[in-house]
Amino acid sequence: MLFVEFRFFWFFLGVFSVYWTLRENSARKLWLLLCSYAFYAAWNWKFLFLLMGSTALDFLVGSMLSRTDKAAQRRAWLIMSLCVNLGTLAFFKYCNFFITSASEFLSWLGLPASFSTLNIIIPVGVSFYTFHSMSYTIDVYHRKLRPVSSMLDLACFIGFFPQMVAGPIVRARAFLPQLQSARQFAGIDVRGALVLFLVGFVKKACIADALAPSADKFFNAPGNFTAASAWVGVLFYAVQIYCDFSGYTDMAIACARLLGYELTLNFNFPYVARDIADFWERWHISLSSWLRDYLYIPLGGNRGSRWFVYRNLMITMILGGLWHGGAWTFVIWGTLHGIALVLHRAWTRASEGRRRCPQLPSWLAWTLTLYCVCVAWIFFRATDLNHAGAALKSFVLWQSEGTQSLRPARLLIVAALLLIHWLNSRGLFATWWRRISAPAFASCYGCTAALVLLFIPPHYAPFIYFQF
Amino acid sequence: MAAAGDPLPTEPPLAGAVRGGRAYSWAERCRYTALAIAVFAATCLCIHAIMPEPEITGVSSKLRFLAEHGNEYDTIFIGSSRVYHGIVPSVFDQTMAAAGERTRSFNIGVDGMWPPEQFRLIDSILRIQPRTWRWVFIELNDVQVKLPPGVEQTRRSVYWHDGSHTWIIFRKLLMLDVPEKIKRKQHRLFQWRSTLWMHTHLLLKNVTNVGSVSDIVSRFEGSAESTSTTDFAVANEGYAPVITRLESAAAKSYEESVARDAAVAKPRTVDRYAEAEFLRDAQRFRASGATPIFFTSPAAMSILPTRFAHNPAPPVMVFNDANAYPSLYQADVRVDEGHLNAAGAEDYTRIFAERVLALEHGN
Repeated sequence: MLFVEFRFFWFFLGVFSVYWTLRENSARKLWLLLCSYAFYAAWNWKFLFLLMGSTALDFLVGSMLSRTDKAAQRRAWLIMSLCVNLGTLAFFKYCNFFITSASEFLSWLGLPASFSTLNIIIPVGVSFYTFHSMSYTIDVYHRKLRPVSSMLDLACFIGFFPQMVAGPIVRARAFLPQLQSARQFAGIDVRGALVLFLVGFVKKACIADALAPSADKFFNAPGNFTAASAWVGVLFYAVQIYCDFSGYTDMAIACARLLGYELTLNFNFPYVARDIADFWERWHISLSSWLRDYLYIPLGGNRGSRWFVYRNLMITMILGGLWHGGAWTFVIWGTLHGIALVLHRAWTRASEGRRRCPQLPSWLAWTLTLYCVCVAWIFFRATDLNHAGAALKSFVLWQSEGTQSLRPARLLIVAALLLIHWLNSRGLFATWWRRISAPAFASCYGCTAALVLLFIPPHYAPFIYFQF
Repeated sequence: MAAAGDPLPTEPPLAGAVRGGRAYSWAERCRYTALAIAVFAATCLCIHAIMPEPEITGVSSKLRFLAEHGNEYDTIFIGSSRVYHGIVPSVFDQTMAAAGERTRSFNIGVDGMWPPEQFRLIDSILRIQPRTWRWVFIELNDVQVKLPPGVEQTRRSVYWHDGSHTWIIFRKLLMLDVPEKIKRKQHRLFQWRSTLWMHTHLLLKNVTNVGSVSDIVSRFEGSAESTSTTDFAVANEGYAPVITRLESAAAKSYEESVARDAAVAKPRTVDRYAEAEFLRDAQRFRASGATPIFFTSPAAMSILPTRFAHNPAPPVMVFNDANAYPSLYQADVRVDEGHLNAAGAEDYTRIFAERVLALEHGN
């Protein structure tokens, strides 16, 4: 069930109506949990047991962590939780990747190898809810969070349907306190939530889904297209993945807000970033901060020599790439970002304290950052390394033997969208709708919603991040 | 990556957001929600009213041709692929001319055209009827409540789901005109829930104009659904011949199925929901000066209806009878159980014309 489908509208209407009718907080949480499980079961009910199992395990671990002060025992419980959660994730997402890679490596060495890959279906949202539950056990272990006494609370947190399948990756210590008391409807920014949902809907259904066919056409056979079309294909994908993912997140945040819960901000206009570090403070914020706090800092973070820091950065970004999927293209994507962050850090350090340090003009810094991000997106989207190479050759070197065209004039669409993105980052469209009267807002909203539906492409494309 | 110890990014409030603000009562909230819904519905209906007709492969081109050249014809055939590939206008005209009845006919058969979509097509035909037609031949069929696999996601399945035609399906599925106990009705609702939901969804997509701009852009760019090999053929007055014939193994299997079908087939009436609409359309054609005649194509005998329950009723020419028309059920003139190949279509059309002449002369 996608957020942009009609049936989600009816589903949420039912959830919302009953939720706010119930008075007791426990009744509301139970209703929310049932609806969340129904939402997840709509994808594949069999994997619901995996979700329940993960929740039950982490509830047990949290309870046991609170019952003992012995460091060895506490560490053992934590390791067990991490092993089971990461093991589940590794099995479903990376089993075939490791099998195939091992087979190819052995073949390259000249050793005979023929391994069968398994027919594994990746449970929807496994990467996300695994990180949600891990944040709980890790924070309890570090005593940053008290373990919950009710499994209902933990189940509500891990299974909360707006954020369960594609984020944002919410921390337990940010969400669990919100479950302790009944939410008050009077305190909800309803107008903001409705506008946020509509904006997310437009981004996903009208922009991302409209650009998807052209991007798919290019990336399915990049060698068949001209170099100019490579720019169309890559830039379309850059816009598509942002609008798809941030659109989903906007709708998730809006739905959660209408139920009285606040989720983590996930995007902050990433394509206005002026350097790669700025980009990662704006793109998929919940993931980058999760990796920072639970991987980068435990590895040592910034404490140590510069090469030690570079090592930590590379490991974090490579694993961040691998988190997206079991394929070498994702690993390369993460590696490229790691290299970019390392270079940026080195440049920043080298520039510190120098009076006559050359500063790049803002427009050049922005252009270079966007260019580097787009080059990395090639690997993120390409179906395999051969396709990535062909796309890279067209995009970077302007060399292509292809003759098919994606109409370079369409780059004007990208330019227009980037302009709107920049104006939005300046808050140009942010507040006028708050100042109008309630009847005027209701009328504008109804009219806008009707107009938005005109621009939906005929077929719904699934959310890109559902595959992660 | 930020330095260790950096504060977690907390979610800033929506830019310019005002937390709290004026509190509305539930009555006000309900009022404003109702206002938003009303404006939404009104906007959708206004847009729907001014939107051009969607471009539907196989349908729009024929309607356009009819609008431009309809004055040149005095007879039309309306129906499914059995008509589209089964009735040859030139053969019909020749046969009628040989008997002294000069006609010029046009085939408006379309692949997959069944009620209620057929009723929508008839509405469009009546709207653009350029002249008084002499004969309008309408293929008789029941209301189809299910769509073929893969069709639900196409524009073709959306465009005819307006209120009146979708209501015909709901009435048939739930048998709303038949007084029954509530539990029986609930059982029907549960039994047909996914079909009802599908049609509701298509109705909503149609009235809310989902994707209409992309249709217009596609038409403008010339990238609308490409013409299929069996699409409208101007040269043949709307008829598309099928040259293939059944291979020996398939032919044997076909003959066996015809024999089985003939053993169990009984004449039956068309379902009452289709009948009501057909009779209404017949009245409208009569009011415009044309003579509507219904017919059943030479296809599976146990599936197709052969008459109306209502009395009096317009005449129905029944051709789905292997005993009466054995030549139309031979394997060498068939593509499959439902369709004739080119040779079979010519034979069928001749027989069709002869039946029309007999009807005309009161035999």
